[in-house]
Amino acid sequence: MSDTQIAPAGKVAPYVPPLRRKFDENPTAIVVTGALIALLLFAAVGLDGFWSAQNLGTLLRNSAFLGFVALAMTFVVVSGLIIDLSVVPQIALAAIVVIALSPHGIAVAAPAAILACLGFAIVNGIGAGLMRGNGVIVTLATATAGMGVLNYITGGAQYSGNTTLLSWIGNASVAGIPVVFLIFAVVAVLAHNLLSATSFGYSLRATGTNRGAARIAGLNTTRTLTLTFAVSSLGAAAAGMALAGYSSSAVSTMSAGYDFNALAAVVIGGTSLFGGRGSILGTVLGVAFVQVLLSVLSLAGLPFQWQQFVQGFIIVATLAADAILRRRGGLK
Amino acid sequence: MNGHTLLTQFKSWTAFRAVILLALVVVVLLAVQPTALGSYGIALSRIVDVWLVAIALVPVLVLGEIDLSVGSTMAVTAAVAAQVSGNLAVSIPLALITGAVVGLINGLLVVKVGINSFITTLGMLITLQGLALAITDGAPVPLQDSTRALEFSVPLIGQITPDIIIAVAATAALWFFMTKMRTGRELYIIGGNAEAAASGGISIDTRKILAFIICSCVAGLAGVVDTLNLVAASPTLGSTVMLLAIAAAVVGGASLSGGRASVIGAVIGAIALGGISIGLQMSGLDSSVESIAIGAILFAAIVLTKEGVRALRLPSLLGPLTGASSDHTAAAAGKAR
Repeated sequence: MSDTQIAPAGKVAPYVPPLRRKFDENPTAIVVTGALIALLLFAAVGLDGFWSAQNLGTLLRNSAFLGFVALAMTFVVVSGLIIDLSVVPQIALAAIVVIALSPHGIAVAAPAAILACLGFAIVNGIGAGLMRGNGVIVTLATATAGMGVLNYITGGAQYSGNTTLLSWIGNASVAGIPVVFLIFAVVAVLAHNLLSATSFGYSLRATGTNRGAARIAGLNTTRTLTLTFAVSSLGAAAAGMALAGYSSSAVSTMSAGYDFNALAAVVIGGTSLFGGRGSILGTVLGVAFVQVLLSVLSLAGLPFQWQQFVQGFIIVATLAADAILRRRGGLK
Repeated sequence: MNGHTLLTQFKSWTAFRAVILLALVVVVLLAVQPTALGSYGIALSRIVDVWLVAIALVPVLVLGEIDLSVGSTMAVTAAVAAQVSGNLAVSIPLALITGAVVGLINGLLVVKVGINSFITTLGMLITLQGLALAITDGAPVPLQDSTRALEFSVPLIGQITPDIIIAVAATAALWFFMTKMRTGRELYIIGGNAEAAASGGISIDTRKILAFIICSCVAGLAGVVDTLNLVAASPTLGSTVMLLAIAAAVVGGASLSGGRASVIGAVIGAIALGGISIGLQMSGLDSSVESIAIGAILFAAIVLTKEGVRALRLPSLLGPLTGASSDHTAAAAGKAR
């Protein structure tokens, strides 16, 4: 996050053009912006129906669903934990709880869904925070066990129902923009402030940069990491409730792929997987890129069997480009 | 280190947690599902994939890296073995070569491009899963040479079928490589202290790439063995195998931070965890119960380290379960089992 470079005494810092400086700070985001523009131009010329109001509405709505998870995942990546794989059962859990409890009203259902998701944050926090297990494997374990619990309780059944408020959030539009996307925009601003301008954000970045040093410096890294998982749970709960409101139904398999798509959005946005630094604005850009790509792939009529391959390939390619660009730019 | 009693020696053995777990599993199975032990040939055949993938992970884990794409690698090699050619003499070598190529890609991405191996292989997990779906067109592919494949399930010695012999042979080969050969022992040194290894003249990059290639090759072997066992290739093969295999290797003494891992420990861990999985299946429980158990075991295996238990501040209770501490890493290079 070094915006200004301090020149050593007696020397004048070399002039760096503004665009070049931006590129050095976040090379991936610049490359992705270019790729996104190219993709949008291709869609405008080569794909019928991409720029239709209906498709754009769907695009913004899907961006919001993924966006809630990706915003939260940015915190996980910055903390150095790499990824929270347990968002997948959490999204489905939030959706199922909010729909199953919808007859009692949103005032009961929403808090219950959020509390259920926070249960994951506590277990993840104990495993990866307190007991210092590897974050990827700990959340892989909680994701597997959590999905098992969810399937055991629901028996794979589909739940239906809704509340007026959730349905409005999921389906309504204001001035042509889906309500859920407007909420996402507000949450993104809040997330930016939480990451860059609060003491939690500061300890998060310190922990992500060097966990041992942060602990020795007196920061409570266990608490910071547990709170990071709590942020992740809130993102998953928001996505789950929004999805439930949109489709008026929920099933345990509804959230497959959200973990990795969210991570892709975060990394494409230029947040370093080494932890310690991250950009919420970049994540928003990454979400846009992932959703436009998914929309183009499906409109282009690529068979389902190939979609996952292309998606995975692009994610790995972006990761590789990110690593190479960073090394060239002298960043870690 | 004067008190070299039998107990302390046992406790400092990398695989001791796995032995305890295996003993527990055998006792419980004897009480609840004795048939699983009576028909041990069938039981071992069903866990041979976890067995192979668990030992496949050892050279990678010992370096402090991981390969999360082993399950998808299985699916891709299985698809290649069943789809590409009707002649098994052509398709099986081709499948193993595919595995090696996957390992080469993983290794190059981690070593030369410089992406964290957890993320590289997570990305490869998705990509290869997609590739397996694309090759098989999303549906299981039956083996064309089914007679040859059916011979594969005929017991050779007692209840021991060829797949178990393959697993034992692969284990012996990998054990010999990791503990008796120079290159294999260098992997322990790199995992224990990479800087010291580099200044000792070991080429870390080539050793790492080699480890990823070995891992994917053995995972590919697991895919081929599974295809022969099932007489068909399934594009969704391997997702639970990966989880069980990581848990097995870690229960068997592997440390995710590198320097410590044991081929024999991974096998014992795989048999123990496979036993749990079979026991649950035979008890007629829902597959979701199995996922809960696998997740819980993986969680416990990862967090129950000496460091993790110390952080809980109740050392006397769980201390014995945590195995050798990480300060054994350098010493482990010398006396790896």
